[in-house]
Amino acid sequence: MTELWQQVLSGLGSGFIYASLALAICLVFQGTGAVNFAQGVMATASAYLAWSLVSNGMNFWLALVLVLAASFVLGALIERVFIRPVEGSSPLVMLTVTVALLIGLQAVVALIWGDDPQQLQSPFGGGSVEVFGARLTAQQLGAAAVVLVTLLLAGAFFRFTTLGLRMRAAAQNPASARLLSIDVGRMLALGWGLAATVGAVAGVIFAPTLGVSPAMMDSSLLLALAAATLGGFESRGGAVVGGLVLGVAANLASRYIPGIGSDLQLVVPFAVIFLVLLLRPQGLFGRVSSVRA
Amino acid sequence: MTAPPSAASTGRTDDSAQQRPVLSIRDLSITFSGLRALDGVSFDVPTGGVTAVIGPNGAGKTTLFNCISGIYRGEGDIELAGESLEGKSPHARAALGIARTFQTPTLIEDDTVLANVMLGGFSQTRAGLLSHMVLTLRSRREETDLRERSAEAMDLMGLLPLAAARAADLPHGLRRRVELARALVAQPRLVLLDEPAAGISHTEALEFADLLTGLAERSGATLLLVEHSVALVMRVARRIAVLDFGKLVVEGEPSLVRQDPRVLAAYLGDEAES
Repeated sequence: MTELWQQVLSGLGSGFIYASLALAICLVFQGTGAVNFAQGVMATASAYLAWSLVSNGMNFWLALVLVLAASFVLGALIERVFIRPVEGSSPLVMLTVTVALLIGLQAVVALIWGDDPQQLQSPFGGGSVEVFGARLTAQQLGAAAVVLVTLLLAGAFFRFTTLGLRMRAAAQNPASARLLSIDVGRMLALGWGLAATVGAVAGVIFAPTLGVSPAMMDSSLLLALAAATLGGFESRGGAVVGGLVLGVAANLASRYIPGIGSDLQLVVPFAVIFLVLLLRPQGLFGRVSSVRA
Repeated sequence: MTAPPSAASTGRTDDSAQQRPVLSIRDLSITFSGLRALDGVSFDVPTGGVTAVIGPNGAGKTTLFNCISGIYRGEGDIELAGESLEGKSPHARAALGIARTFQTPTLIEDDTVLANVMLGGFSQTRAGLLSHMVLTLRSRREETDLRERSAEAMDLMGLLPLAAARAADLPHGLRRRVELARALVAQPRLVLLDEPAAGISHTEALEFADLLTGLAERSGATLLLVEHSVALVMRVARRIAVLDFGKLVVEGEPSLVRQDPRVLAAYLGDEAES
């Protein structure tokens, strides 16, 4: 029983990575209708930037703040330069652009920082804490707490501020938002910036666990895509719940389903994507939408 | 409800404002794949009250609205209170005081009536994006002000008791009112109403007509509506413009329009005679 509890908690810990990336993917999808396959590598770039700053002697938390600001600017810039020219294009065009971004950014990261994996020291120290019989490292607990606060702040921003309200309006119906004098282009850039920031929090705070390398976010991206599919791309809360569920499910499957193991953990997101698309394509929390011909 | 800047500062008693039309359309034309949807349309919308545009399906009514709000760019000129709208984007036109409703109300379904109404007022806010992101005193003050204006607009439309209701739960008639309240929060000079009676019952349409008349008097905004319901138009409009095949057939007071033989032939038919 204790072992099961241990597996659930550590799964929940990884689930926070998937939840943040899934939320970032949803923010972009709701605004521009694009599934951003580059969301993971954008977080990787943020982690590398943090590693550079920290290894040059900067305090971890100061580096985190600077990296978040830089990630915000990078996200908004990517929207302006690469997405704006194809805004309103078919999903296939959007897909091509974000996959191109993924490949391009991965190359840029490797060019700047090289392919060798790097290690970022945990800001939470090397201790561990016992939670109802299960043992969690301070890094696991601290990272989960930071991401949880980020997700709550992002939720509050969208729900309770007038800027969040305008962003929702611009995402849901750009044409009528323009007629309400809402600067839709600026709102979409803001959405990309925020998505990049949320992803960067996960990338930097989990870097001590994942190790800093060009491929550090690859499997997390797959699990995040499965999480967004499970929760529904239209639902921010659903994506977060989906991420946490996926984290636990992947961990339990690798421990208890014979033959899966940690190497085959990625079977879980594929199985989830397949089942959700088959049984409930709009996701658990999404709504069926239709497009007027 | 506070009146819009132009009407508020000059008021209804000011003769010069009374004489200057809120909207002047001059020789407006637009062609889609060879089809002339609007063909040299010219008329004025007087400041204050309700003006209606009527015409059979495909006459160019909604196209006219799309040209005024800047979604389509036609040839010719459109002036808002003497200022040319040429080259101005939809969002710049909204900021100048043109608000609009749609045939099918476009609301944020998961949000409250209040949040939906507030969305109309951002053309009036001055605090920048950064200011909103870090929630400065100025942005919070503007938000309080926006909430107050939204409450006033909801009051005008009889929506105050529904402020916390979810937009998705409202029946069609009330959704129209939310959309109109949203348009009014911007304190516009001109509100374009695209078929406000579509999809609601005859009785509701007549109630809505009275609401519009009251609104034009109390809000200070001029209402320009496109409508199929002749009953509603005759009840509210001070002036009527009739379009047919993209051309202006006649424009004038309802009594004049009713008797025009071209209108009878093109549109009103038996309805006008009865």
